[in-house]
Amino acid sequence: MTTTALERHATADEPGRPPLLEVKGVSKRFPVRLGLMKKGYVSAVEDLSFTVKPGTTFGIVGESGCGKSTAARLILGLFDVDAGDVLFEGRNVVSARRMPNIKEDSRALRKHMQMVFQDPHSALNPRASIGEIVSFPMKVHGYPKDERRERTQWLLEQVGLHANHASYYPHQLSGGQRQRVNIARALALSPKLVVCDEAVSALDKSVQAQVLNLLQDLQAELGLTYLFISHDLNVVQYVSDEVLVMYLGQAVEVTSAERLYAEPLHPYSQALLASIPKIGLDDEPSVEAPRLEGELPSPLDPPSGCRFRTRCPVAMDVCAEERPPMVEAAPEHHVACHLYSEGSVEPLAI
Amino acid sequence: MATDAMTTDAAALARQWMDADAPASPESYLQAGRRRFLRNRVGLAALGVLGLLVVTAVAAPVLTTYDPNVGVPADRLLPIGADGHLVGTDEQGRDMLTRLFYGGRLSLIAGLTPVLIATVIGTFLGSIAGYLGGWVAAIVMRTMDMFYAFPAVLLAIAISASLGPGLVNVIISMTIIYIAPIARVAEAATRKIVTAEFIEAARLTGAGTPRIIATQVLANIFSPIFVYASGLVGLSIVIAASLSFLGLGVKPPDAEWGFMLNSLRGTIYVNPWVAALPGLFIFATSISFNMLADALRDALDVKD
Amino acid sequence: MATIIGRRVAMAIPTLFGVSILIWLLLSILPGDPLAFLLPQDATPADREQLSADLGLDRPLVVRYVSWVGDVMTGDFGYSPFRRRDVSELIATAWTNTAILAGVSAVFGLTIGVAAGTLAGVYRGSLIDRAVTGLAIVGLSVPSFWIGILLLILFSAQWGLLPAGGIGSLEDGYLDYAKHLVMPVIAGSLITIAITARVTRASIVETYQLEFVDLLRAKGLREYQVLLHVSKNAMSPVLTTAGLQIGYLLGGSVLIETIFSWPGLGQLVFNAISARDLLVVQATTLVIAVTFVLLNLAVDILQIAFDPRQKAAG
Repeated sequence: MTTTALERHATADEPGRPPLLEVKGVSKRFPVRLGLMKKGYVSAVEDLSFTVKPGTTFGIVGESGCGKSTAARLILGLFDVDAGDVLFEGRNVVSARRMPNIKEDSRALRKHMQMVFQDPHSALNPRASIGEIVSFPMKVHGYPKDERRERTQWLLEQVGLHANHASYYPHQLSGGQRQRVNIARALALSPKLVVCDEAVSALDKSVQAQVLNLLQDLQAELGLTYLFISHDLNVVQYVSDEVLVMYLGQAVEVTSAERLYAEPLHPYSQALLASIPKIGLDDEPSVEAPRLEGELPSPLDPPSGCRFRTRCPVAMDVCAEERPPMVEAAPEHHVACHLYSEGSVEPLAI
Repeated sequence: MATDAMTTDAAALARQWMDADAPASPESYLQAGRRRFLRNRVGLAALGVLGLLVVTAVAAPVLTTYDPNVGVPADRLLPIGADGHLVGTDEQGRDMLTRLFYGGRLSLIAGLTPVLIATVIGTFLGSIAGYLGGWVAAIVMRTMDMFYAFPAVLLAIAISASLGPGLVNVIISMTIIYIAPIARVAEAATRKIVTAEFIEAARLTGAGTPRIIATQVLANIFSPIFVYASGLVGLSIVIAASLSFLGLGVKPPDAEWGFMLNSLRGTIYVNPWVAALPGLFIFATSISFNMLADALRDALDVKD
Repeated sequence: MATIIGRRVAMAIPTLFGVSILIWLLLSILPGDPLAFLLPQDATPADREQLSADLGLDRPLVVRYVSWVGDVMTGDFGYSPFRRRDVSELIATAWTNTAILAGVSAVFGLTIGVAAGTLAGVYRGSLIDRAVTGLAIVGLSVPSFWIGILLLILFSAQWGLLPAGGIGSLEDGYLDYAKHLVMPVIAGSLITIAITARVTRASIVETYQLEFVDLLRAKGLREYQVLLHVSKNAMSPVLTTAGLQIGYLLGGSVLIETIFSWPGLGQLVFNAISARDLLVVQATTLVIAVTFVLLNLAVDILQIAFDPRQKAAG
């Protein structure tokens, strides 16, 4: 098999509309010092692939430390990748290979990929006014002064702030207001893709709902595509069309939000779902939901084969030996687990 | 999305109440700092003393009619309170008050200039090292460490000595010894903010390193550097005077407090209190700068 | 702990190496003609070249540096034509004299500083505290050479109580030797007193706010016993700045020794500067810097040995 199921899925789907973002086999290791001479590597992201269709919301969910924030930064070119490629509208913006013109291309293209950051405290320059913060990206891209002022005002109003807020400083705003500024800045260059990295995690529940609604509202108005990253499965499910479940740097399951909710296949996904309180009454999980036990293994020395096997209630011998390939167990439902094979959602007899 | 209809309403609702109250121009960081400073009496008093010293130095020709460099031999070593010479005369019969006023010019220049230049260079080096990290930081900061292996005053003396006497050389040697500590402060402050998400946001806009340092980093490392550098000025005034005292600074007959203190050293048995006056001016300047620095630190609310 | 100390010692080696390069560069390639003062007024260019070759100044920089370091390692600092003595000989006597003055100043300054800072910290907010804090900022701002001159005016010129300068001889008795030390020690240690008092006060105040103090009081310890525990825990930052103090004392020694004619390294440097005797300036600066590095190393090792947290980290 030369192409993975996921890649086939991406190209086969809606031939008229090419994917906005294609992530192909992206990996990243960080060097760490273990002692005076010893050096080790933390495997943050390993062979990550997925595609995002324009106008949709693609969610990535996983425990903190699973590499999802790193993945976001790799896609946006904030870190260099060790392996793999990222294509935006079919053009390479990030690559481990040396390619001519990628620098100029990606600088122009990256304008269309912006990010809403997690921490409302550290995401805004404390010494800059809100107006300066929101207009900075436009300044970098040479927008004329009048246009900058006008657009800043428009953006602030778009995210539910007042134009007067432009003269405020970050510390004079509430967490929710700061997050709105964060969003306004991400929209300043009229991006097509907005990566939301735990964009609501630091907020109170009630404010979370407001900001999520604002994001959805803006998506409808501006035709945005979101890559929505969170540890909170509830939040991801609420906003996403498709969801990728990540564990210790690897994708374990990719499918639509509805299917993941209704019929999670990977034991890890099942455990994640079981750990959140459900609202439905007769909503029986399709598989006996295992609880997550034990600690997340150290990414310094990830388990061999399937990285989840040390915490998996149904781990088999093969799990330690072979990394399970991503298979399309059901239409539009991909899972990386030795329990499943291509086209079969029935777990193999153990 | 399935919930579109509902969200639009919610967002509209949210907008309504968020709009409700947004006064036009709240107080900025520096305005708040200024307000706090203006409430600090010690700081204001220090500022007043320094203002007076600067005025007497700048307006010296207006304030006195004596020539600072040419004396009347017959009027040598007059005591404090002598006729026509408020605080006496020096060993060449020159009016002390005149020379103290004029001396302030070179003393203030020699004390302040090195701090200013070193702040610019040190901030430049430290912010680049802190921002880029890696081997750039290693080279810059290990070089800076070398300067910590010397007692600072001694290093300034050694550099001045090898450059030869002169005010410019004093300024150069003192600049060199201040660069290392300021670069350290700048590097530490930069490292503290370089991982902040707003720096990543700036990088995402496609802005280059110089622009990010200029627009995002500098404003955020300003206050620790400013507080450190202003604390250095008091010391710098003393070191500049020390170098002049050792004969490394101005050449006679120019007036400079440290140098005057040295040339009057031999007269303490004849006219002791006049000989002590230049030191008093050095001390007053230095302590005023130190108190001003303390007041500024409190006003800018920098925790060490 | 041994590994931490070992690492700290290993770190000092490149520092010493860097120091030697810096000093050598400073006095070798900076502008200023080292020959100008050595040559007679009517020297010809041929004389100049001859002297340059004799002194080895025509060799490449790296060769000159290596040969200089080699000489220095064997204690050969060259010959001072101005003083007509071997530089190492000049330095040996001067080093001892400076060590005595700086040592006494350090002990005096640290003792007074710790005592004043502890008093201020224990009676925080009191009149004592305000006096100590105020005097500390005075001590930080006052030029030591001015205090030296004021002391001379009062104790020597006006009241004739103390000798105006020079070093006493032990043959004249300890009292005479001590009398010569009084003024230079006071003038030289002012900044040490000020910094130590500030740091001690801050550290004591901070330590008193720690939980263990309440615990000690709850156990029924007397207040002076509590203070003993507090000061033991508060001493680490004081020790850290002690290394810095040595720097101030050594750097300040040039001024103090010049004013009080104390025949130490500082005075040696000052005289050498006046005479443009760069070889002596170079050698003396190097010796002071090396002394400084080694003393700082000793302070660090002491601190590692005494600080339980550092021990655990090792």
